[in-house]
Amino acid sequence: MILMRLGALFSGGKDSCLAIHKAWKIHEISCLISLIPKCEESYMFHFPNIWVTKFQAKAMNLPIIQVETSGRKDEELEDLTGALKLAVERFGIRGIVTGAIRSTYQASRIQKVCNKLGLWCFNPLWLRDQVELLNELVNEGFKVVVSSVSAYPLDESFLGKVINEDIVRRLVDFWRKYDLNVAGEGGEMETTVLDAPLFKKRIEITDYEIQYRGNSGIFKIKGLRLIDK
Amino acid sequence: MRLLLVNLCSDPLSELEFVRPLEQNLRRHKIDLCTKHYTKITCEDVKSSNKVIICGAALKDTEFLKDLSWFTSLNESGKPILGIGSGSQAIMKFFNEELIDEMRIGMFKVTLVKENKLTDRKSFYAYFLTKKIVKTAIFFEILAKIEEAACMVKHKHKEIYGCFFHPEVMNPEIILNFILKAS
Repeated sequence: MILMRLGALFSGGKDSCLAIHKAWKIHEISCLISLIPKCEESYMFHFPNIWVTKFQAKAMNLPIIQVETSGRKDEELEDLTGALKLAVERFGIRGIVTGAIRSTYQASRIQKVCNKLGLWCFNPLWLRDQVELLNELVNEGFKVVVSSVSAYPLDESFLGKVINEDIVRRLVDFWRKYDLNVAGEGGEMETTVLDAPLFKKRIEITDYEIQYRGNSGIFKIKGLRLIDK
Repeated sequence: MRLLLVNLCSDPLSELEFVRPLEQNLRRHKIDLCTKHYTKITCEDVKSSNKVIICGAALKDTEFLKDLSWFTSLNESGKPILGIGSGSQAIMKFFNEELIDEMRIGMFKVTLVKENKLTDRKSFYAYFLTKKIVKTAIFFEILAKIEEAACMVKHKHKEIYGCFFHPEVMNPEIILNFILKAS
């Protein structure tokens, strides 16, 4: 096996962070790559606290490439291609790592772009059991907050909550009763990672706002600071 | 029933994507299994297993195709074998069947063209991650097609199957049928 320089597709949420955590043990993560949607209806990428990714990169001591994307299906792919080309030029990456779990839509589009650019594509969470993933996050010491909810029965009380054993139990209960996708890959729930084993510094939220209407809401981080660990 | 799961990945990070999901699914069904990298398969591994599944690998990974001697003992064992994704490429190449370059990434409709033990669904959607497909086959019969290309095949005289798509993603019953019915 040859040590590879990888770029990580990074949304700032639990899945991309856990994917990096796994890739880090085997290869070198050379940079993070974030696509920042201009519209909230993005098909592929997270939105609520995407601006936090810059600070998460600082916390991990990694460079980050941030590219704005229209959020429209086809343009989004072109924007992703551009971002990956930039990562190849600047950091000499030979592959990327993503946090895709079950979305064949997301996975196949990224695979196509990687194939076009001659890059390896790694999806270390692919088809993983959703509950097992949540438990792994808790057991590995990730500090993850719920930053948006948009599916019944997830309500306002979840916004800003740290995912711990109790929250996992409640999510599993919802999965059994309502068939809720507890990994939230379909946008049922978005998350923001404040601390993880690979973080050199942790993030402390200093200001936030909760917006909730109908069956959806966001926990908007408005201020933060990096704290030495 | 003991199953030998053959890992084709040259990179351990890919194993999480192409081997672990199958292990997870098979263990959930209480299947006794042994996972081995293709470079480390021993005669004892083959002897002690009843069936073999050869997992897929990343699109960029072609290391396993460079020397296919590892497949000889599996072939000679006469045990049922199912190749998935890159695993089916390895099987076809071992038998010198012609593979052509044709990219298939994503979800495609598969149509059954011959009755078989792995599925009885006339048509279904499956997840593909392949750069190669079979145009025509000599030693294999075509079980299912995607448009005009073969995507599920079976050796004419042996219980050796190839799935050019990844059944673990959308069609796990194909894997279970192989385990329960192929003999």
